[in-house]
Amino acid sequence: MWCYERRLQYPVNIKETNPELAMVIITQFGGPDGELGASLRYLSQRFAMPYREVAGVLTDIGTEELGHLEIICAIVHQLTKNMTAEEIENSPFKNYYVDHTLGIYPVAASGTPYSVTTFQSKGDPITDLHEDMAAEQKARVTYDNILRLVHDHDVCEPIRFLREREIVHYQRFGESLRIVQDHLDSNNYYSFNPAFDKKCK
Amino acid sequence: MDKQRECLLKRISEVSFVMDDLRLFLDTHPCDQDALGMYREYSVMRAQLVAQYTAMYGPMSSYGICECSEWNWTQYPWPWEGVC
Repeated sequence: MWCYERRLQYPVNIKETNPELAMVIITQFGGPDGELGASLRYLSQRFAMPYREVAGVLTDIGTEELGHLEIICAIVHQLTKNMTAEEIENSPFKNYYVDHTLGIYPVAASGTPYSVTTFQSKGDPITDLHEDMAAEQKARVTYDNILRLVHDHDVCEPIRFLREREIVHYQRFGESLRIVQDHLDSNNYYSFNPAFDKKCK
Repeated sequence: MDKQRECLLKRISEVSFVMDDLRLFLDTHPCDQDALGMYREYSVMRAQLVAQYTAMYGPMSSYGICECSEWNWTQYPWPWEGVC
């Protein structure tokens, strides 16, 4: 069960609209390395995770990612607020506008709608945690790419915050991987899947 | 947003963030006494700040709503609205 809190994990107060920038940043909502995919990945994977402390990491990071997609959506919403039809006509945002008006819809920067095919829930702890660590690095690179394109301080600050969280999450998943390996036969981590084979604990 | 509300909300965000980060750390370091002590300390601080905010600016979470004659959960700004 989740409980909603009426606040963002990091504040977003943007004064200048910028629809072109919104089209880039929306990729961290609906893109291949975005926050929505991150949250669904971890929250899906945790059910097959046999070690409670690692299932806790997946639950807590998956939950924080929900807060992150809320921050991304708030940025996109504020960057496209109060626009006139003329402003939209002269911006690449018009292609998005024609399908979604000013509604927030999960798409990549390329315009491709969000797809769950961008992540796995393999039911094998080592496999899933390696994917999770890679996912955090991919998201961090995406934020680096976004930061090269952003010159508005109001947008930079929350994006920098989100980038830092990718690094912390990578660290925690690395520790989770170590916890999993500590439970396994150190001579052969791959001799069985602790989430499936009954003989192991 | 008025200055006082902004300040209080910022303080809640800061204290909550310390707890968010500590929570993940404690998931993989459950016996770290320094982190446990800090989590306890911030938890007390957070409860006080949220109670203060709720009394002045309305509910932050809907579970705690009980002392009003009209449902006030939807009467305050949503966090994505921003300043403009």
